[in-house]
Amino acid sequence: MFYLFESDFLGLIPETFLLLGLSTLLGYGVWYEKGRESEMTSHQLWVGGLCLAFTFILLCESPLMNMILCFNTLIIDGMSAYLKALILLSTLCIFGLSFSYLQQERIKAFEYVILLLLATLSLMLMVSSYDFISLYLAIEFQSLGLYVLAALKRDNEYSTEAGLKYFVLGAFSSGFYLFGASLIYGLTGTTNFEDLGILFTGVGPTDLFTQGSVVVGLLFLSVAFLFKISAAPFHMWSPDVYEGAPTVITAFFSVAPKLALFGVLIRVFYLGFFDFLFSWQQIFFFCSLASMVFGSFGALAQVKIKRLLAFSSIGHVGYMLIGLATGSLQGLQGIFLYLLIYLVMTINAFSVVLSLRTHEGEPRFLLDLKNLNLKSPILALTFSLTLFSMAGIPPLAGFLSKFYLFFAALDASLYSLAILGVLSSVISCFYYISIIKLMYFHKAEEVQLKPLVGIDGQKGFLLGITFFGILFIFLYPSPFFLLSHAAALSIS
Amino acid sequence: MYLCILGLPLMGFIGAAGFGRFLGGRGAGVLTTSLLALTFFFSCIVFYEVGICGSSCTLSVSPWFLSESWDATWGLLFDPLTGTMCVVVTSVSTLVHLYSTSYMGEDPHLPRFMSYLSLFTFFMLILITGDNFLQMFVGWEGVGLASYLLINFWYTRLQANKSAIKAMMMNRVGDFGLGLGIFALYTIFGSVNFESVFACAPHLSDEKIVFFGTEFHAYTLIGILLFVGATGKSAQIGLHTWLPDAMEGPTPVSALIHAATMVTAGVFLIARCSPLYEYAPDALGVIALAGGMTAFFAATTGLVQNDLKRVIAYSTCSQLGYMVFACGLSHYDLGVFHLANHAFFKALLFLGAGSVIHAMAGEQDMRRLGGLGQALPFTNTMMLLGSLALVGFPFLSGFYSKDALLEVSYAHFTLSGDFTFILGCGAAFCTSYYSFRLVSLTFLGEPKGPKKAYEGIHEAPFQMAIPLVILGIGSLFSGFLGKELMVGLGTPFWQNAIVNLPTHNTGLEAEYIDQSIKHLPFVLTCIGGFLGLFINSPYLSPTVYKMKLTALGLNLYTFLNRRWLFDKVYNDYIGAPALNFGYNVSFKSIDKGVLEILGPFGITQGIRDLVNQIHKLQSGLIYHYAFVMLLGLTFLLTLLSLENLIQVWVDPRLWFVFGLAFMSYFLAGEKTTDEEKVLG
Repeated sequence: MFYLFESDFLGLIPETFLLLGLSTLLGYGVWYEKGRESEMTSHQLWVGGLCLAFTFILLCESPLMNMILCFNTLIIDGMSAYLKALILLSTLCIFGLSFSYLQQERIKAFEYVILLLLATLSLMLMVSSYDFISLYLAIEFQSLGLYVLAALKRDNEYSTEAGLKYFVLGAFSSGFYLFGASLIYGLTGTTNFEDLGILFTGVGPTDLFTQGSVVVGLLFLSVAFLFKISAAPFHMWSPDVYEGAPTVITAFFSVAPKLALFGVLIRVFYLGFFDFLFSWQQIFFFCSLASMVFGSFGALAQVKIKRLLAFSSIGHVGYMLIGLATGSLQGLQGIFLYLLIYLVMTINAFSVVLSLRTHEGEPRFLLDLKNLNLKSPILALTFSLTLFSMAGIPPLAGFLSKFYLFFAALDASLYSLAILGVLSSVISCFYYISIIKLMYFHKAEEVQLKPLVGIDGQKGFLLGITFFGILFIFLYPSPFFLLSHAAALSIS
Repeated sequence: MYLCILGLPLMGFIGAAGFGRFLGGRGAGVLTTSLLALTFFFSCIVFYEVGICGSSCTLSVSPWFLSESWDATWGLLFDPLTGTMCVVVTSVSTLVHLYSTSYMGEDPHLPRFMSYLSLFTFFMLILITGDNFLQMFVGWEGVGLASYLLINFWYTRLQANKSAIKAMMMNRVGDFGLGLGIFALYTIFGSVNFESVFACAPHLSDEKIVFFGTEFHAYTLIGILLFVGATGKSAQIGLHTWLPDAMEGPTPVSALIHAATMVTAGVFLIARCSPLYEYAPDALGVIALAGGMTAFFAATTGLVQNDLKRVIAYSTCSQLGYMVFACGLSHYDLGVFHLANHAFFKALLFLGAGSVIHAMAGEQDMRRLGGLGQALPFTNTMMLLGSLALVGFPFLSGFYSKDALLEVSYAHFTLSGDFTFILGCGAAFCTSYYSFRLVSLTFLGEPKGPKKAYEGIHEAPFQMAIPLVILGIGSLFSGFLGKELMVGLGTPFWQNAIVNLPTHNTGLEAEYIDQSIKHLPFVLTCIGGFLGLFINSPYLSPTVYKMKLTALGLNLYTFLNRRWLFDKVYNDYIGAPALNFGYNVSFKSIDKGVLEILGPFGITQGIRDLVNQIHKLQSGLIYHYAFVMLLGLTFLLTLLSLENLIQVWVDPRLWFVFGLAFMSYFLAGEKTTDEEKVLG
């Protein structure tokens, strides 16, 4: 018991700080809200952002690189540090996007900030989980926050529908998770990942019964995770939820949980069940294939911006699952690099979408992008380059990450995945480019142009910095290679 | 200086092509001509250094392909063969440049024309100076390109387009052979450098190579394949049909490319590869036979052509046959010597013909010319001089090379030697006939053209006369001056550039053949010449016309006038089926059929349908979503638990088949709806 206080809290300093910070903010909000509702969210955002920044610094400066804490339930290592940093950054970006959005949408609930911070905290814990129980707690913690966030606009029927759908299906998948975990616990008597890994070392095809049962448990676990990262065929909720949720929340959904869940997937399958590689490889193989196909074909039929981005993110998840299916260090490094670049691209895309607001409200349909070039040439250029990057056109960041993953797949002899990945990225090119066509190649008189609302400083800053990243990561990618390599090394 | 020989024409090309609009026609003409003159000057120095002083040299310019043992570089090889060719090419080219400035003076595209001429010269020099087969191939293709561009110079003329395409097509066949020959060379020698290949040639002469599943003697195969290349470029029988048609180009082009230089590239190639051919007697036999047949066939065709330039074109073809069979009889030096002489007198003839055409405002049908001797005395003189040199009148240039050729072929005492001697003598007779027929129809007799053309008649202007004079001097003396140097018995001039095994050399025997045989070609020439003059004179032509109308005469005339019906056979038996195949099979059935349906059209249709299907899945109902999740789970469960059973089906090839079936299914569906629409 005493060990707990000796060093465990040292390892948990960033999380502890975040928790304390958000509790303080909660108290501040509750006591001082009355009468200053309009400024409150802005204050909260600033202070919350500061909180996140400090947490980020604490995380980076943490003296403890590798540690197992809290009675084998949490772990700190290179991967967790990398992913936590990315999660914090993504939440910071969401905060940046929120300033004007909350004002424009007249969302005067300071709980928004608290919920986001709580979700961030839970995601960080998820990345660190080292045990089925702690993982479950972290996942539920995160999910509850996200359900509420999705339904944040209580007066909007889309938003409430999104929240409800997310909640019901999320509960469904939690059931899968619990069933899988209890199967495995029943078979092995342990819930700790490392114990599982040690237990399964060298389990070949000798003990068919145990192996078969473990694989079934494994399958249920993976279905739960695949649901959370919205991989096909468990993706059906995501377009609806993405569309219904407030746009900033959609941005958060499409980035942060995926960062954490890929960490979890890697932790569970590479640490706990690596000896069942040939079984779970097939699961991810199939899901990756399905996600790429559904992502690209589904997106073709969309007419709404956010649904399109949802399908695009399903496609990206498919590409990342390629890395997972390789079962190699290179594949992991590819995932980490992809996550980073995906973060940059998604934040950029959502910043653009949020900047498209006119005085009549938020644009919802792709046709609202028509002739963007005439309204705002810079936004049009930024968006088209981002789309090119998402499609994986060479001198941009997206190409780098895809290229790396496909190479990993080729090295792992997953030729069909690599080839189909390239093919589906060709199809996805089609809808990305059709958006560019919408923005540029229409006659000026076809639509009347409504002037855009001005872009505030925070969003402008985000737009600029992510655009810069998309353009120039390709020129000097070695720091990112090194970072992702370090993160991948901690698993091997 | 050696590099300048290549660089200056290239500079001329860039200057005239890139800055032609600033320089204007005159400026471009002055620029390119002066650069070419400088090149010619350098070439003379090279000829002196390399040929007469005997110091061959190579220059390595830059690496090109360096891949393991593949070592093609950009390099220049200057040996006596190159030196001779350089002088011939640059001298004729300079004169043609000068001539063109006047001949084409009124053409608004003069800079383009001059730039093409310079480009051609550049590529021709690349071809002859290359120190490996690959670089030679670059030049080979480059001159083909320049030839295409120049034939097609008046690109609005349909006939010019057709001729240019024909030239390109025919040359492709030859180039294919040349390419295969170079591949085969690389297979045997592991190198394409002239030095390495020729140094190894005596030691690998027993090598075998498998080609189309049959084993061949390597050198014979290589030799024949290279000769296929030479056949295309040098218009030997079989692939010759492009050359007469190439006369659609402007006359200076005909003089430069289709008479003096480019078409001799094949002869140059054979001479260059003499170290190989010396060990491939069968290939030499083929070459000799082909050359002899070409000489005879082209000469007979030339007998009855009516177009002024076409007669000279067939004459070129026939003379090329002479050169080739000389090479085929192992007398490469004679071939090259004849090449050099021929360049002068044939360029003279063409430029003279150009002068006539210029004077007569574009009229080139000999039946509408006549009596020009008095109107154009200078041109007349030059044409007569050229013709005399061509037929081998004693002490003019043609005499030294052509008679020597026939002598060595007689002294060869082999099948190919006798064959070529007989055909060569026949060709000599015909040559003489058509040359004097040309002179007679064009310059003698009465004017047969419209009065208008004769009213505007004028003698060649200064810039056109100068090249004629210089070429005339060349035709007079080049044979006499070069004989001992190039083909004298035991001359050291060629050094190692031309290898001639002692057993193959019949130069000595040729000195001792019967005197009557030695005089035979001359006698034939004289008879042919007189016949040519008299049959076509106004006094005899009615009689000849009657002879032409007899059944035999008519058939013979048609046969010869229709060029032995080569074109007819090619068009009916190769061209038409190929076009038919191209349109019906590869275009309609494959490209627009199978590929279109399985390709773009099918994919777009299939994807559109697929997208709609997927869109329908997204119903928005929560229990559907949960159901799909369960389905996915069940599928995965099946996948994992029945892995061994399913593994058979997880095969990329099966996926492919499945994909095709899927697409065809959608297409079939699409079609029925279309039909329904039509029905509805």
